[in-house]
Amino acid sequence: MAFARSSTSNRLSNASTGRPERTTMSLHEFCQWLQDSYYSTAIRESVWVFPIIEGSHVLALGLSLGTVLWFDLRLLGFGFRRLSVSETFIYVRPWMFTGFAIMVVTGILLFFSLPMRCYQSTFFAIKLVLLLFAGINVAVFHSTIDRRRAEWDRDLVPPLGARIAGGLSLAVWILVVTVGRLMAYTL
Amino acid sequence: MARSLVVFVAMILGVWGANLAAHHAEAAQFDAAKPVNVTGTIAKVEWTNPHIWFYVNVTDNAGKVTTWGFSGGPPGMLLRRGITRDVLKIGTVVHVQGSRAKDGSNNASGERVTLPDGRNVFTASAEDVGTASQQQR
Repeated sequence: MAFARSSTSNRLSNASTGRPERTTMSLHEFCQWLQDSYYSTAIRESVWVFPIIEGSHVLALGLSLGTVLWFDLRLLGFGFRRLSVSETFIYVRPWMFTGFAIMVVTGILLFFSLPMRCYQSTFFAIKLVLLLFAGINVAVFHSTIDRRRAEWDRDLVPPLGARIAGGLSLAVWILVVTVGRLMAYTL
Repeated sequence: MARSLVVFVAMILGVWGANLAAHHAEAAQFDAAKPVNVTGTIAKVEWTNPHIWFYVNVTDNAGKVTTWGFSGGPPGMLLRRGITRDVLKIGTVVHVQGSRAKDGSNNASGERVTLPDGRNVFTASAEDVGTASQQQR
């Protein structure tokens, strides 16, 4: 019988169809293997552990997205203008890095506990692409306009390149949160 | 001061726009105007976060079997209501009330489950869902 919602793989094995066995797993198989593992199942079926992980993931947004907002407003020349860009970053950095560390650890644990749901979710795929784009944005910023930061560090309004980096960063992180939230609304 | 208010308003508008679509996951995916009332045998139970899922095989008068999927609250929330995973056992004949999924599939929010011994349990993930389970009270 076919269940309305099923996460199990029911493909025939290579051995039974006479094809040579592969030594590597497909992504689908890997996610299913994770899903069936002891600790993944334990977290997924837990009373307290999963809510604590998921709750921490969302609460740490205050630290991560909050400080990103702070720094991006400075890059946009919209806020914190009495501080140089470097000073703003020095103040923001410990909170930002702590926030991101919590997001990454809890995010990995969430994926680990629900690998098939993440595999099947278009929103999750979009979220990963957006995260990659956020990383690329930071890399491009650091390797271009940020090299000459000493020239514009104290400017009330940084140069266009810095403003674009800040604006893109803000937009992308807000989209990351939105898409992550939308993952809950598909059956 | 003024700039921080601008940022605040921008955030409110952004969040409000996103939230218009969904306050509760229940209301977003399940339609309270399409109640579901079925009796059948529990075939599969996924006692998982973020929502439990239980599947019920319903046989109609013609003998055709349809599998309905019902979504409920998380294990922790159900445990606080006194519902453990042994309450929904495979093979038990139950009557389930819920609200049908908006996409029209044979899935619904599982709100009230009546067990063979007459016990009635509230398995929904929110207190203010559905018309089917509310009318029972």
